[in-house]
Amino acid sequence: MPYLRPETVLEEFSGFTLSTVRPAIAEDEEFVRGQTGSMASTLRFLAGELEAREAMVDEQERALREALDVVTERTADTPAAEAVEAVVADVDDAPDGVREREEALLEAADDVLAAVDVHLEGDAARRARRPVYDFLDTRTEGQLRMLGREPESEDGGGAQ
Amino acid sequence: MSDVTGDALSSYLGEQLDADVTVADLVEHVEGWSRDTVSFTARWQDAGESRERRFVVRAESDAQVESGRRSEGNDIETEYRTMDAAQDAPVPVPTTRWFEGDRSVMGGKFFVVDHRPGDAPVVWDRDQRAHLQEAWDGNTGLPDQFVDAAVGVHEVAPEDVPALENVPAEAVVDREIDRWVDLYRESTVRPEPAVEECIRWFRANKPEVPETTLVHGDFRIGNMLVDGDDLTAVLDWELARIGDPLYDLGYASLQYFAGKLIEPTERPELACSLLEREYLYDEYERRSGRAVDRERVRYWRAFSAFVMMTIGLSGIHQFRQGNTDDVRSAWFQYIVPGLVEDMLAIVREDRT
Repeated sequence: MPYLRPETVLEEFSGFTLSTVRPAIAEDEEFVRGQTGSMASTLRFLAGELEAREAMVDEQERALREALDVVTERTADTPAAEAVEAVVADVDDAPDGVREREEALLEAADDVLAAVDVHLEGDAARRARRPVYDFLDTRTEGQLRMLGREPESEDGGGAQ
Repeated sequence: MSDVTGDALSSYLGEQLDADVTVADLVEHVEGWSRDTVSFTARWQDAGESRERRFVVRAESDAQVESGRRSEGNDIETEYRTMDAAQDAPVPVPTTRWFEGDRSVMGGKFFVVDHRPGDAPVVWDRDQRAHLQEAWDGNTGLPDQFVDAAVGVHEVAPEDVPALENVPAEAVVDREIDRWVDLYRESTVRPEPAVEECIRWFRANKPEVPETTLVHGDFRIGNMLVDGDDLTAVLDWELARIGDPLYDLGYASLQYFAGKLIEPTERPELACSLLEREYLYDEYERRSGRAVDRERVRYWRAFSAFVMMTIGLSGIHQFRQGNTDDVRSAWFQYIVPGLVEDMLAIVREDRT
């Protein structure tokens, strides 16, 4: 539909549900009030997801390609090299659709971590995993930002 | 909602108490998922004296009865039998009264227990979370009662809960991994490399469990009633099992159960936003006489995030399958990134 951006519609519906529909439900209808609150919250998250999805997948692809460059270097001349090379090829062949591309990236990240597990041990395995964990962080942090997490302040404030 | 009505309750209690029972002040408690929970006041005559007591009925929900599917937890009879087994333990569990397995009575199997005063704190509500944090800062008795409740649950020996499958200590970790990974595989929509990585870590780092006890399985302040500064009841025994008692400590230490959803909480050092994690472990050790192996608690803490995430994904799966139209089931996907973040924070210490 060319008329309204879907994320804008969802955002508006979320606000309306919360500000107008929910207060109109009798206080003793706790279940329905709760469901309406969850609905408003879901609509808001969906709006954020639609808005950020493509950019998020772009960011993940960039992060995974960077990670794979480092992993390729660190696993050269190891039994994991061949598997890592295959994963790089999978990423190069990833389909175009946003959802399909994201799935290909996730499978690739899992394949490389599984290959490290099978072929490497100890420090070599840890060194090879590290860049892929950076990709996992990029994905998780992107999802949390999309859901509304504020960017970290300069003095940190992590989850632990 | 199953058919929990004043008339049905009046008739049922009349038979149990052999009296004419009037039922009033029904209150639906909507926090639960797989069970419908209603509290009510019953009045009757006993040997010429007027009696009045407030009860709680917990029943299978319509969705559960209609779909016939097993929930992630135990069936309702096992939940009742578990609470019944804990009656003499030093833990505030509501007094058990009756279990009814005939679904024609109220639309689903149900049980009745005594009502306890208090409310279950919602840690995702900033004000309620602040109230719990004040209990820690103000040195009230609530944090210690929380520790005592854990100690009390774990005083129940496996053989005292015949309703639960007994598992030898050496098989506990495999049982947990197999059960929850299977459910994760059934529920998941697409591969999530962070989760697969954590599963590999769970398998590669299985702790040795020296003993088993009753484990509550969903041990957190949100499943307890708090009345002022008093912890008046431990509820929701649906996930109880025979297992490693330190599982409950790891579970209670999850950031999610302190109120983290998207943002970290203001006080990430507090378990359940109520007491410092290290205090919980130290005091539990002192009061129970059981060594708290921090590595094992750390393992269960990561595993509990996986369990919680899997329960969320299972809800999404049910929504996708059309087995429920509960909006919370769809909403539950949004707890996943925060839990993955917590799992990875633990797992990366060993893996990178």
